[in-house]
Amino acid sequence: MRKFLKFIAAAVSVLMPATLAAIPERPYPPRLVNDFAGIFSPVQKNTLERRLSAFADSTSNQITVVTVTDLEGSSAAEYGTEIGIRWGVGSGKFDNGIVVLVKPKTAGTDGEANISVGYGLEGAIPDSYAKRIIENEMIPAFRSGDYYTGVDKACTVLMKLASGEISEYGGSPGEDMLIVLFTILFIIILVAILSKNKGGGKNNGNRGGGRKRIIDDDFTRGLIIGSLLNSGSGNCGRNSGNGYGGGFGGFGGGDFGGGGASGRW
Amino acid sequence: MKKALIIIVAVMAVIAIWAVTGYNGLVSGEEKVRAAWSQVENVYQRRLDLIPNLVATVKGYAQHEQGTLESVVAARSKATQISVDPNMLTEESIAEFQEAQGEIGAALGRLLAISENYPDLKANQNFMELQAELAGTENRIATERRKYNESARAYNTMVRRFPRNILASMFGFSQKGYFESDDNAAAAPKVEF
Repeated sequence: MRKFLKFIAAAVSVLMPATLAAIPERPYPPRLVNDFAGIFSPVQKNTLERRLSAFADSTSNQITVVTVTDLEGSSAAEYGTEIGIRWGVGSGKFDNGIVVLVKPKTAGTDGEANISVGYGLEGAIPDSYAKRIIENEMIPAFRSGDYYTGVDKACTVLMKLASGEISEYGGSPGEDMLIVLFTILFIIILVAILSKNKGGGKNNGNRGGGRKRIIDDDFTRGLIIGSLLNSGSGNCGRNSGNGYGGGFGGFGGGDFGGGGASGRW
Repeated sequence: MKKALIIIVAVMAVIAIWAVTGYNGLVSGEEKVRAAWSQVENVYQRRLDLIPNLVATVKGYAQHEQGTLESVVAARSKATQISVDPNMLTEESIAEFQEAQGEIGAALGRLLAISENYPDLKANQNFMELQAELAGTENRIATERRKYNESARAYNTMVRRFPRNILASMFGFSQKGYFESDDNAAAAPKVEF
């Protein structure tokens, strides 16, 4: 029996794809800040999430922050890369994802930090830049126990570097408001024209002209209803995206090749 | 009589469709393996490209380490001579490639170890950046090797599985070799009883 079990175990270990340690499942609903280690306060988490998702909306670059208490025996670089690949951080088109990984220092173990950079951003954020961000922005703050400041400062620099490379406009709330305003303006103007025409029609004795105007009215009514429906559906889509803490729509299937840097303290 | 003919034609059509889709599947599977292999070569090349700069930087601070520096250069020139034909990704050719590259890894490890003894070198900005690039490249190598192994595994399964294995042997699709895990197999799963 033992032999049999051993055989099974050997067979399983051979057949098992060479995937690494058990990384956390892709978050659902999608989130950019995944504080599994619990080192941020709820306010900090929300602030960072909003900041990162606004950045993802405006440039299409996705930066995700992940904190864990244990790297499951793999290096921080491997762990971060694996998260990037399996979660699909960044868009599939640009591979423009970044994973910021923090394993806080505990009594018995070193703290470890890693920045993994997707294929598409390797040019904008070379390994030596990532290393400098870790050494200059993150670790000094981490040493004094202020994880939020370190991560926040790192994200500021990463955003600056990443947006220089890829800046695909994803439609911002500002643009949205403009569209809504124009639609409202359009409706007001249409209604004004319509009521004027109606007034003119009553005074006009010509039947043929009246009929024509009725068709016109139907046409304009259709336009109004159409534009109302249109703006309505637009709002719906936007709202469902905004439902969870700031509008992050989900990871886009970006790929990683192992670029980035890590550090420990 | 007519019915029989129709049935024969139908069966032949089904077989033809199966053969075409099966063949195309094998072709695209092999293409994926080749693409993964070229990525592997890219990242190894990246490491080779870092070496001259690294050696030059270390030389300026650690003249007494000629032996270690030379072993890095020697391992590099040896590795540049060994390339793998992407059409012949056999177990042996990959093992040979891996061995030559492994020597570079070992020589670089020794070089970085001795650099610990030279505080001026460690504080050198250029050296620090090279170290970061080198660490990133090592992780890239690990990542691309893993991706290559995954695509080779998927392809090999396709080649070996019945009935597609008939097609594979007919058209000469052979199995691809894997990267063996290096000496530091600490990350490999261990099962104990």
